[in-house]
Amino acid sequence: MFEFIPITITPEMVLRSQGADPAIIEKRSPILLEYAKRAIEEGSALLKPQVVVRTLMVQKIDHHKCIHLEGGSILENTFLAQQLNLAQKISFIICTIGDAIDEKASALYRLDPVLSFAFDGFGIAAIDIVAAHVCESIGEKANKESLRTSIPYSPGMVRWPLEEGQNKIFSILNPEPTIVRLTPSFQMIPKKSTSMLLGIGANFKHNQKTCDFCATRETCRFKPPQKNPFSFGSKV
Amino acid sequence: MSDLLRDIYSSIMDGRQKETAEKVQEALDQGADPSVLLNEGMIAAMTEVGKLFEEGEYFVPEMLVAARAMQTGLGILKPYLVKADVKSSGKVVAGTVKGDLHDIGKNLVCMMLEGSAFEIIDLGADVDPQRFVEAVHQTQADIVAMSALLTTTMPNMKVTIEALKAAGLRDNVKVMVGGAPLTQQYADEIGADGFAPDASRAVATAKSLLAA
Ligand code: B12
Ligand code: SF4
Repeated sequence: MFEFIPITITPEMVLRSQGADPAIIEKRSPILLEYAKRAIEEGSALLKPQVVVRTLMVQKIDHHKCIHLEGGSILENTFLAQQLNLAQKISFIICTIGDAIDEKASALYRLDPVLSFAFDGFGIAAIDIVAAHVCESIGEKANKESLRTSIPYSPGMVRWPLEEGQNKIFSILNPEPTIVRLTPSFQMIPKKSTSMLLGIGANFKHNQKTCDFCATRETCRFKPPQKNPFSFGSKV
Repeated sequence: MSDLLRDIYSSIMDGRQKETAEKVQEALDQGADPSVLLNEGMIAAMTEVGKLFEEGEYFVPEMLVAARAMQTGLGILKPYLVKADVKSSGKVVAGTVKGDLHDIGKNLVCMMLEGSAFEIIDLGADVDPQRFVEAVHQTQADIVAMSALLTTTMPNMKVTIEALKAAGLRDNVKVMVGGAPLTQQYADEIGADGFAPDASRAVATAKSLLAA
């Protein structure tokens, strides 16, 4: 389903992924726009998007606490069990853009930190697009079956501890270590990777955003301005 | 403030690297006092950038571009400062704690500290407590600055503080911590000496720790 993932990144997206407002930057610090363009020009060929997805049927949900999945997996988390109590299926997802952008950003850090940070912004925008593309594709497929998708939930979110979630997603997906591997502290390598799940069911609300559940939402500068519920901020 | 000093100030504020270098050189050629250029031109500009960032007016990449202009100017100024015997603000061993790969915030803190004439020993990300200890031992650092972006890796800050204690070095250094999920309360709980919510306030915290 994800042989080809179209990734078109604009300088505005790079700036937003650096926590900046593109409209203000354009007027006040146009040089940063040039850096964003350079990161796009030099970084696009380095992207190696890869996605691992597996969708499992929900068999039953116990007392709003445990989600029993086909094949015997159990997702034990009160928050998710409440949020996904309408789910008929759950898609488990890992996305990455590979490690070339991070390598480039690290190599540049001492030489030109501004360009290094532009590459980081470019990489964040790219992983955002890959994840959004996957979520949208799953959403479209669900629509064809008259179903809807939930917002994405990522391990490390306030009510889904990193350790618990990463162990679960990695054990269900078992990705090739050449695509993404998990460190002993549950970090994914390559760095520009994300993991999440998406509920699929008949009645998910459409006005929810992941930011609504995030502890840093009051001060966060990464909240997406657009309505797209799958965009960067709503994901991590 | 002289015209040249004002030019240096505004070229740093706007992040104009080449112009900062040219103006600093021009001022030095005209016999300006290096410590006046540093304190009244460059550090004053970075302080203003930091203040605008804290107020939510400036964005991270703007602070970065200003810090880079500052560093370039400092590079030119350094030999003159050494001659004039202007001391570095202090030595800082910095790193993101073990298990954590997030380094963007730590990098920014390092740049801002460097821009305020601190000497930085940057250990990178995923830094083992023992490496912090060794670096403090080898460099006789004044401050250890630790960053963590994950709740799961935050406890490694305390582990590092304990390792410094075990090595008998805790009383020799100030410990400063930061990262998006951290709070002053957490910093107090683990026995750190200082916390700052952003790179600009990290500079103020570092200065006040050394003044204490
Ligand atoms: C961009 C981002 C990403 C990017 C990666 C960025 C990179 N380094 O390459 C991507 C999209 C890949 C990503 C992925 C993930 N992320 Co993320 N990510 C963020 C985000 C939005 C911004 C981080 C950032 O770069 N900020 C910019 C820098 C400049 O800010 P900063 O690091 O906070 O640093 C400033 C201050 O904190 C302070 N500071 C920092 N260090 C220090 C040190 C000292 C001594 C001092 C004084 C001050 C100080 O000064 C800095 C500058 O002002 C944060 C949310 C947020 N609002 O912060 C989440 C966040 C860090 N991510 C989070 C999570 C959960 C993840 C994932 C695990 C999600 C998932 N399951 O896929 C993955 C893990 C990836 C992996 N490899 O394992 C959580 C962590 C939760 C937690 N507390 O445990 C956060 C907080 C989001 C959230 N919703 O809660 N992420
Ligand atoms: S963008 Fe939204 S979900 Fe991500 S860290 Fe910021 S507030 Fe939290």
